[in-house]
Amino acid sequence: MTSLKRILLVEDSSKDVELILAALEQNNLANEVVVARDGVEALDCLHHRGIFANQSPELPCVVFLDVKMPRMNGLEVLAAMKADVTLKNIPVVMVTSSREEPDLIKSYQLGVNAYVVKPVDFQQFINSIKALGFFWAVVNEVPPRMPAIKLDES
Amino acid sequence: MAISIKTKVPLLERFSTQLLILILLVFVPSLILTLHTNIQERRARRLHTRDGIMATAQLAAAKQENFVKNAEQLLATVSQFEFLVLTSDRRFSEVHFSNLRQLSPEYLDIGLVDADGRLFCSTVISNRVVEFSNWSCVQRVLKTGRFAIGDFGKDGTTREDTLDFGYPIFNKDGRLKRVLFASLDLARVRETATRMNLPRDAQITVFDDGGNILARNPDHESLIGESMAHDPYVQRLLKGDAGEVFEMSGLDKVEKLFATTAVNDGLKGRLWISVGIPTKTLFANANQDLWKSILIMVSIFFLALVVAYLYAEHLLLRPLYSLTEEASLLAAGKWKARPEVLKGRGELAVLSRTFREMAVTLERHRQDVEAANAVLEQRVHDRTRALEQATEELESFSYSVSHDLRAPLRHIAGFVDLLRDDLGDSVRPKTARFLNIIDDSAKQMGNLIDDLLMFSKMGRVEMQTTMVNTAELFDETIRSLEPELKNRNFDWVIHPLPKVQADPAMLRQVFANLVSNAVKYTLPRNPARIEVGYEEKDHEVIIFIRDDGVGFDMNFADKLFGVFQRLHRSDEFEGTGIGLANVRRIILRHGGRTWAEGKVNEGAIFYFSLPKPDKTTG
Repeated sequence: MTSLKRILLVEDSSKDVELILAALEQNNLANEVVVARDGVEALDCLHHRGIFANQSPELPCVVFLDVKMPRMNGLEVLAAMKADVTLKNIPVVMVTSSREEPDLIKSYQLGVNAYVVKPVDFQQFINSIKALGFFWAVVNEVPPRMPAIKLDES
Repeated sequence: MAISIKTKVPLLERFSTQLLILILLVFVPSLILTLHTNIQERRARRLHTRDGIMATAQLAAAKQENFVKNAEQLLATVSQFEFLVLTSDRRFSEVHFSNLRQLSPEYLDIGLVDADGRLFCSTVISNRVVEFSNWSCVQRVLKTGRFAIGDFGKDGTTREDTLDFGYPIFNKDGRLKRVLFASLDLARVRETATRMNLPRDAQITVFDDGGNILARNPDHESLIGESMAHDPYVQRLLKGDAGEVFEMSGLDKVEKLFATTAVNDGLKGRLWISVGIPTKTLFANANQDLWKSILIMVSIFFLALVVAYLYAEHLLLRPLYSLTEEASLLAAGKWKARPEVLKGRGELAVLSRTFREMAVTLERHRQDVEAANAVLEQRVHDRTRALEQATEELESFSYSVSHDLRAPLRHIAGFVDLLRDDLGDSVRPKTARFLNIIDDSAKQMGNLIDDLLMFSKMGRVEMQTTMVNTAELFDETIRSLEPELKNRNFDWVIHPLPKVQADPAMLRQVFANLVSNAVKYTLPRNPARIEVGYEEKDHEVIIFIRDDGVGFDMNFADKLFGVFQRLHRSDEFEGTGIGLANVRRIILRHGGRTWAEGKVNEGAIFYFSLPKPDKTTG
């Protein structure tokens, strides 16, 4: 499985991080998973700065994004990504405990690719991650770098 | 402005009209009084005039009587001289009578007539034998043997207008031998009548016994010597008593008041003196006074009317109109309206002041009410704000609940799962059971939280009602419950279901809860019988779901629809105790009702009603 690409997981709860990682592992999806603990770190990671300055400049093939986080929440991260030319084509999946309709609506308005409510049942969650991870991290074609510029030139 | 009120008030009920009527009422008695006074005055005048003309008549009569008395005296004196009156010497007599006549020029002739009617001697006719037996004065003397006055006429010796007197001459044997006569010049009589001092418009007339006019004043030339015996007035005069006063139309056909008196020759009235005054003249002054009074009164009346009208219009009614206008403005809710305040201390002024005070008080009260309203509105606003804040807080609370309460549960379930994997097949059965209980409890808690969130959401979200086909909704519900229906036998009895006005998502929730309840509580039955149908009432549609499951005790029926209320142990039947509370909340929001009937071990019927859609819009 050398073709597995980098996944960015943005989640403030260490327990959730561990469970998600376990779920990915169980589904053999644990390629390179970069964990950011809040929205600010997530944008640092995407822009290779701060604690992520020394990382290889590869962009993730998918971002798993929690909504409720300190400093900068998931919706703000989503908005920032969609406003950025280099980041706006990276698929984003909301993985959250929030069942609130406003969050759901806001996410889709901002251009989220999927919205998953974390279930209490862990097996259900494993199944969801399997499906999501398989689609977004394996099947889905990674968007080329700077697609907007290339499209404009052609 | 005032015109509008004027036109609204009926003419008779108008103040001006009533004032005019009042004035009229005041004037009528004074008018009656005036007329009464006038009538009294007329009566007095009539009495006065009556006395006056009577006196005039009597005076005239007295004067006429003088002629008669003078004549009688003269004749009586002459008759004493037998040598003169009984002589057979005509010349002798004529000379003496001529002398006598020169002494008494008022007589045109003095002479003697023999008893056989032949003229013996006269101062105007001489040596002529004339028959005078038909001469009235002679005739009367021959008949009565006494002094007599003759009728008016030219049948005497003079052939002039005379009034003749006769006197009997007896011889020694006492036999009537001759009649001594004297013819009084009527011009004398007329002169007397003319000299009479008469009241204005009065006329004096002297008649003889035959109705002939001897003298008249004024108008003394006309009708003299003519017989008026046929005239009703003369007839009445001649028939009546002397001294009578009466009213009738005279010779000239003018209504007059007459006073009459007679001159007597001893036996009978021979001369009639009548004084007449036209009633017109009589009452001329009284009438004039009356007209004057009436004219003055009517003038005053009209003046009073005009003054009263102007007074009423300008001093009384204009302020009243103004007051009425202002009052109607106030009545229309224009609180700023203020009537003009009249000067003075009269009732109207007091009224206008009171009215203004009332308007001021009204406005103040109005302002108080408005202020109070403003305070109330502010309060309502504040409360609404507070309520909105509370709602917001509740929403953020339920957000937290949704997010934060579920996270630990998820962690428990997740890590129990990982733990189970970690232990692998070496786990002891007891440990495995404990792990399962932990896992189940966490999931149960997750369901509770989800249902609670749904319950709170059902109370908050906005309803979007539309026509819902409940038959379709029921089919969908059964399909969504497919997993729970697996491995069980059901005997569905599905009656036709109505279309209702409702929020489809919410109504789906209702069906889901009720049907899943029925499925759940019929677990011991094989096959389980579930029936659904509806009943239509005047204003609502009642849908029921009947099952033959474990049922419930009716004593606890009121607890069925409460939050977290359960009638069965959770070991027996899974559930959060929120489903029916949710049903009730949704139906209540639709304006309907929920209730249930049941019997332990026999089954239950759950009802809910929905108001019928408005027919006018449906």
